[in-house]
Amino acid sequence: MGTPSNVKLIDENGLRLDGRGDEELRPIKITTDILERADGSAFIEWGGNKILVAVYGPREAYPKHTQDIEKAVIKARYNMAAFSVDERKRPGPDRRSVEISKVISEALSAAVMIEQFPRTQIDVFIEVIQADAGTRIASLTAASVALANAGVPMRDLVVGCTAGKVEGRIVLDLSKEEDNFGSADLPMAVLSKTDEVVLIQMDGELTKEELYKGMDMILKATKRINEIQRKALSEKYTITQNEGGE
Amino acid sequence: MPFHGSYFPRRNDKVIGKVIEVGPSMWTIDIRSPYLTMLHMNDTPWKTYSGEIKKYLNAGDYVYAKVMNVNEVKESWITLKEPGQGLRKLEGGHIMYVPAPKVPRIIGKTGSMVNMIKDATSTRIVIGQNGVIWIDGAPEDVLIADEAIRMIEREAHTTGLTDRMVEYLKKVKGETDGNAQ
Repeated sequence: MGTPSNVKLIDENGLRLDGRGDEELRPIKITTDILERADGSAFIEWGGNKILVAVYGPREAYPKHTQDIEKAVIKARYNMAAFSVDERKRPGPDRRSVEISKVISEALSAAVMIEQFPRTQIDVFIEVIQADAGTRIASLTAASVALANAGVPMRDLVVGCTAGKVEGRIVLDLSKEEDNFGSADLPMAVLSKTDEVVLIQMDGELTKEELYKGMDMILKATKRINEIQRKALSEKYTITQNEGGE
Repeated sequence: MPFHGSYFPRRNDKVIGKVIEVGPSMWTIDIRSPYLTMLHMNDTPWKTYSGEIKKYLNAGDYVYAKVMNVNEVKESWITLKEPGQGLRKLEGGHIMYVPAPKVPRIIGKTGSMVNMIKDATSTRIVIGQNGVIWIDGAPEDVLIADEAIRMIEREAHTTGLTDRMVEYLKKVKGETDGNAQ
């Protein structure tokens, strides 16, 4: 972040490296119910990101001391594959993935009706197969779809997006290069219907106005992403309905 | 209506559970829910004595029981002691699992769907609200019933399922009859 470089991130036409405008998202594709063993699963492709999410539970929480007598605990585990980034990542949890697991668990807890099943845990396994900036919000977006697919009661879907500052401009959905060489990165996640913020982090520096502009852009983008989530969830059933008459 | 999801015990539900542990005076029962449930020896039709309840139900046995009580922390107790409701130990038969939210579809309106399968396949079927189904009959009939239930499970969200089920059962029955002759 903020590494000085001579890479031109925005060209003279105002287009970004991959030809996108300021408020354009990378292509997003979500598929659900792809894992047989898991109670719910989702696979998201967001630009170069490829992330697989599996949900198990609610089930009795183990070890027992982690149980909460009043509500369910969501245990998200974010893990990056060794081959997910350019330079081999040492496998296993590190400081970064522990942090992301924590913020994702907390964001999901805001959406799931955890008070309905005390003493249980809901496991959310997130495997980043290929990383390309914005994995935490892509993971979160996919995780809420996987939870819905598992039939876990939720108030709302969690949907996230990033904004950032690149060459003095606020742009939506940073790519790898913009993330590495831009000057700020702002991942944010909201509940789709209420726009309640469940995750917001910032890396780099933004003025108050820039922050608000970024948040506005993200809020608008989450509406579009939410459409994709909902389509992914209903798709499986509309297809069988058409074939049903055979 | 959800398509998946685990079962949460509710009072007066009739469920099928598997005995997983035998204690001195209680059985611990798995009802495919996040929470285990308990069956106390006094809630059975048998005259049992503490310490020898293993004679009546052992680990691995299945029971068709009614949820008696569920408390705030979702601990629950089930009973076999309600005459006239068919509550009992399930002996023999075949066990299959479906997601609990699909059970109403499998039972159908006042049992129409399951009765249709029972009649067509001449099997005995018991369905627990928790998505555990017990089928007893000749092996080939059990297989047909199993497949019919799987079909309902797959198409639970579509309309006109009953008609397709009639067709399906007619077809498979025709086939087995044809083979027999």
